Amino acid sequence: MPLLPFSHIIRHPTKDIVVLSFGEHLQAVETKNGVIVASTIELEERESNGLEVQPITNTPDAAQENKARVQVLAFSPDGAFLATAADDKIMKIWDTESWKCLGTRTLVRRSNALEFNKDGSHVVTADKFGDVYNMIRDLPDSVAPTKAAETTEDGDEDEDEGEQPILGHVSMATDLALSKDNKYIITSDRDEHIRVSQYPKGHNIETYCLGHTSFVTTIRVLPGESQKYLLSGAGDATIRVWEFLKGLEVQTFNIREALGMPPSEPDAEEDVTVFSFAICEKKNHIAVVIEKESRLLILQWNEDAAKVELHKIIELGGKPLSAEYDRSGNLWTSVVPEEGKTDIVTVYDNEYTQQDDLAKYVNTFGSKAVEVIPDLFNTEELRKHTTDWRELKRAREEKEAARLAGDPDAPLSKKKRKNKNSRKIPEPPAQASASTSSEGGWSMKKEKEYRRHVTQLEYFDILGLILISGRDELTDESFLILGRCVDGVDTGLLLVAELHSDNGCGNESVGDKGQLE
Amino acid sequence: MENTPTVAAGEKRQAEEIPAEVRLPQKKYFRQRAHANVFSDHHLDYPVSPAHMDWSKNFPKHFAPKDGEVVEGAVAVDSGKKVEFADIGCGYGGLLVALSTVFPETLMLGMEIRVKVEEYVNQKILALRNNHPGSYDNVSILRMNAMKFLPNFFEKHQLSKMFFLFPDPHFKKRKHKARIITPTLLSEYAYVLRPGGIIYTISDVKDLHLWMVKHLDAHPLFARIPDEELVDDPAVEHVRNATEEGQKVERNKGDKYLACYRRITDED
Repeated sequence: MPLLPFSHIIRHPTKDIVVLSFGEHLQAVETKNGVIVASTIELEERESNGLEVQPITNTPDAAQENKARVQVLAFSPDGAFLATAADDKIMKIWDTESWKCLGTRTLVRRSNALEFNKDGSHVVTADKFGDVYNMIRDLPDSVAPTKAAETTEDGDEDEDEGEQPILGHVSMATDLALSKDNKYIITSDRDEHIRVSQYPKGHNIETYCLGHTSFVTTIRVLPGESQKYLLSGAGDATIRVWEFLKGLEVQTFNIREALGMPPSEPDAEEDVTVFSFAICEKKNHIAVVIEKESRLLILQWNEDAAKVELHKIIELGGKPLSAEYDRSGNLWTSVVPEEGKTDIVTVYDNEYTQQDDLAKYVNTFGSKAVEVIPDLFNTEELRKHTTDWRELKRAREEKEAARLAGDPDAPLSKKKRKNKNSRKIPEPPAQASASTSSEGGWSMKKEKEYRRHVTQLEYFDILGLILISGRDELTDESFLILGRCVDGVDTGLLLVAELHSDNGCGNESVGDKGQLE
Repeated sequence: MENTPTVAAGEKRQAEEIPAEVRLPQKKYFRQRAHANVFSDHHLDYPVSPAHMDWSKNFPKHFAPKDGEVVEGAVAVDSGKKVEFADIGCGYGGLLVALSTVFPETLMLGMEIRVKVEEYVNQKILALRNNHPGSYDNVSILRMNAMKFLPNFFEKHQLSKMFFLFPDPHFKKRKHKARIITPTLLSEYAYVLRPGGIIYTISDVKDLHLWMVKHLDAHPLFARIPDEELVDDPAVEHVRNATEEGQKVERNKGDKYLACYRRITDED
């Protein structure tokens, strides 16, 4: 059985240690010899390691046991603490000496980025709803979760309870970076924005760094004397260098060009996507992890020229998940191994020569065996599927024409499709019709018409703009597309029902007509 | 643009060049439900940054087309003006039309997320420009989600006035995050608003008014303007009465709660 690959690798700022996360687990590895020094799992062959493995111990509270996948990790600048946040919204602070969990707290929403401030007294998180919180690090185990303010439906005055964000994007926040002097906080989002605000007074927005044409995935302040440059990666096949306080783009690095790929198709929905950066301050090297691309880019950062240049391309043994330079400049990479390969970690020395010795322990017993490797690439939620309905209509018509021409691969008959679809699109509650029939131009008859359209459309499940009987991750709301007109005057009009998680089935806001075109 | 008179820049307008009066669009053909999900990925067109924005389509008498092409009826050189007023969620555009002649030298833009409403206002402005040559060239509308994309259109401190008139109340608690005035959004408004600039809010829903006042009071970059100072503000009368929503409230003899705030600074 394959080993579960490591989603994240992060270096300890003051010791020769890297921490690797896989699923809900953490593993601390000595970077001088590759020995596993601490782990949240019971290692079968502790002895073969050559050293005793210290258990990384969770809080005694069983309910708080590590269950969900670790999403983000960060060390405090002095290395004394490690903060982790998982898919279950639980943030933990670990003591990196004793490897004990010091405290947990439940965040309002899933954290997408986490960083300590420079004195380690606060942890800053940016969440999937775009809010950024500046939280005191030291917290008793049983701090009332900030979630309380969200879930109370009755009382009127509880909105101000709990932690208030220092800033917020009306979009999913994807990453954050604090300037070295901690005067500024830089945050990125799914709607192509990079925002520079004062820290901790986040209400003072200094500027925006605008230029990316797709979601921004990762931002890092570049090393050097000036501390004025920011590096950003996105889903638009570019890496950009900014003079961030001026909002000034100083370089666009084209990844397709660097990898010898043809330019992207115009109107392509997906492009080459930067996953993350690893930065080696010693060499001013940047390792660029690109989503599902087995080649790792190594860039040279030249501060005087305010420019990154291609230094080297490393061919990895699989699709990369994470990369990190350790304190001596060795590069640790983690991959989902390609067919026929098993190594989940490969280490390269300062000359980028493979160092098999350092990775041997983690590759033999550093992770746990799984039947199937799950999808560990999580950029899908960042993509916007804005397929034009006209395209879809054309595709449908072509398919229909092919069917009529006797093509054996043609879609099923309308009746069968209808049945198939009706499983996915349940009948709307009765109130839906009532509440939508009142407003100008919108009638029961029309709604019926629209609904008929939807149930007859074979492509409805790839509309993508609004999830179909699915959940909008961003708003925590479920949507149900009830109908859509593809011909006539009202083309593109959507009737969308919002299904509420609290009452199961939308009985109030059903009939929210979103506008597509 | 087919309704605008085709007059070359600088050329003297002549009576025979002006087409017959164009009928104003009728609202009944442009109705749309009052709500839209502001968190959805609507198919919106927005510039990568303010520098990328081609304003010539909105303000052909003030902006030359970006790509240098010559458009009939449009100026060849920018007038140097920038949009200064933004009416967020402008609805059927009553305020814009009223303020257009009160501040004829100021460019003002309505932002509205509902496509049909945007179409209506656009046609109305084009008809007004046609019927009153020389007027209404300073107002326009864009279909936009202002909660997400304001910084794509406006530079830091570009605006002097922002209007939030009769916004969607989003009554339910779980919907409050969709309200147009929130602590975190106020910081964005403070970014596009110059120090000294004014935010105008008005609502017939007392709860929403109190919510907006609470958050504006609490925000370090806004200070309430006392009512007596508002007496001299020529915009206020129109904030109360010019919008279609405001007139509806008037007809129903409802209350209108006004609160205006000045953009201040707390930087050291």
